[in-house]
Amino acid sequence: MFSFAAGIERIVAADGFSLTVTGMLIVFLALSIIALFISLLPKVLPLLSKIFPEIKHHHTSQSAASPRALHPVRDDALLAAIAYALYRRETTSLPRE
Amino acid sequence: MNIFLDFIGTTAFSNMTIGNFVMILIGIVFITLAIRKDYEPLLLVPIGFGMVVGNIPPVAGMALSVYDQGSVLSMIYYGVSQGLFPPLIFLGIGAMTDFSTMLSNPKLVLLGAAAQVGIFLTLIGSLFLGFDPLEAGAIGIIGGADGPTAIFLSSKLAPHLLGSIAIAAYSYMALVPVIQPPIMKLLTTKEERLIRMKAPRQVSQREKIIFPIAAFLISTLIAPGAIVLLGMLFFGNLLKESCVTERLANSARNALIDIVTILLGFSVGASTQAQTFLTHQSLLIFGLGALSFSMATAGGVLFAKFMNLFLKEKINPLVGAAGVSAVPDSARVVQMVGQKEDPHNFLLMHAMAPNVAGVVGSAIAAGILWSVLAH
Repeated sequence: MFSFAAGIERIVAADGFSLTVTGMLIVFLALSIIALFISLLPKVLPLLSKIFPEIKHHHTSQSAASPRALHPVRDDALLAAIAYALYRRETTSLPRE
Repeated sequence: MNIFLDFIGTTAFSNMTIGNFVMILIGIVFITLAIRKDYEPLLLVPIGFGMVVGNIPPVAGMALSVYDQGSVLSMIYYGVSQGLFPPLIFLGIGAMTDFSTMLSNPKLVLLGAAAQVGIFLTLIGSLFLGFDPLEAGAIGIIGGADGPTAIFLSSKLAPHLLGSIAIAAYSYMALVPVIQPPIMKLLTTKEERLIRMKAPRQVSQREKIIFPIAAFLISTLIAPGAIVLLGMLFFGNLLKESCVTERLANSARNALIDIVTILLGFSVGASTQAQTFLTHQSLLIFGLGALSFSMATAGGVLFAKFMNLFLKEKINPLVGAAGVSAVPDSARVVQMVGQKEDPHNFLLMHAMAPNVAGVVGSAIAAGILWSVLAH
């Protein structure tokens, strides 16, 4: 027969509550340190660039070396144009293609 | 005539049980859901067909099933039972994952941690229902919403429950669009669902290259049990981001992950023979799995609301639901639920941050459970 008290006893006997608290704390600790590292990285990188300047070689990926990546302003203009076109399409009563 | 009668005795009809028949029907339902509803077809089709294959009763004396020594299926299943396939899948996931959104908004990483509460609360629930600590740890990991992690940990802690846990984990991953939205709506107000978040910043290539190495060191120095899974995940990501190993990254994210997914899905499906699968324990595992997913979703959403108490730039709490690591399905669900309130609110990119953080979080949780419970 199933018993609530026996269930709680089983959790206590297996250190279930402390494992849960400790486990969550460790997961939070690890991901918090990763989050902290990520937030500090953009501040550290300029210093690193002084010691190890960025080099471009033939392996560099298309996306990293493409003119669009070098000129993000073009992307913004393109996005704005697409957004405007979509807005016009949604708000005007002109027949759609 | 005797030969014919002997042959009749060896056909599957004579050994077929109602349980086998039920499991074949479940397999067909999986295939139907995948084809008609598009629910995780890459997983449900191999698993569903594997279930059909695994429930044809084998002939006595012939090595046919997953559990027969020396059978072809047992050799394929070796990759599951020994925890070989999950790290290979993680390699492919790493090679296809873009951590940019996470790198551009590091506070969202914490949502990936909060959603892991489902794992540990389900562990308590499993202990309460009478599972031993090793079994409870393996069942709890279903809440990580990560099939490979669930298979990896259950192969280490409770191999006898592997089939049920794997099927539960993948079934609920497929049902993310059904399970998550009601919980998300229940725990958020309309105003919260309408919150728009700032566009993520551009992330430099150097950040993307340094991240996998640093994140691997941080997470595995804290939880060494996660070395295998996180090692492969971040290695795959380094292959992608380094820009000098494009061929290897391509193989990992295309051919390798596809081959391993086929073998894993099919052999897990084939391991669900009615005689070993249709048990009281399996039903409990399915119940706990549903609870686990729900709690993980609630954990992420509630933690996002908690963070909003302290943040100037508010987070849309729906994004918290993506902390369960069902990549990218839970992020898509966030986008879908958000767009129902405001069709011009694009949450997908923001949701990808806790989503990939959830993958890391669930692997760390698995490492903790493995190292603590195995001793």
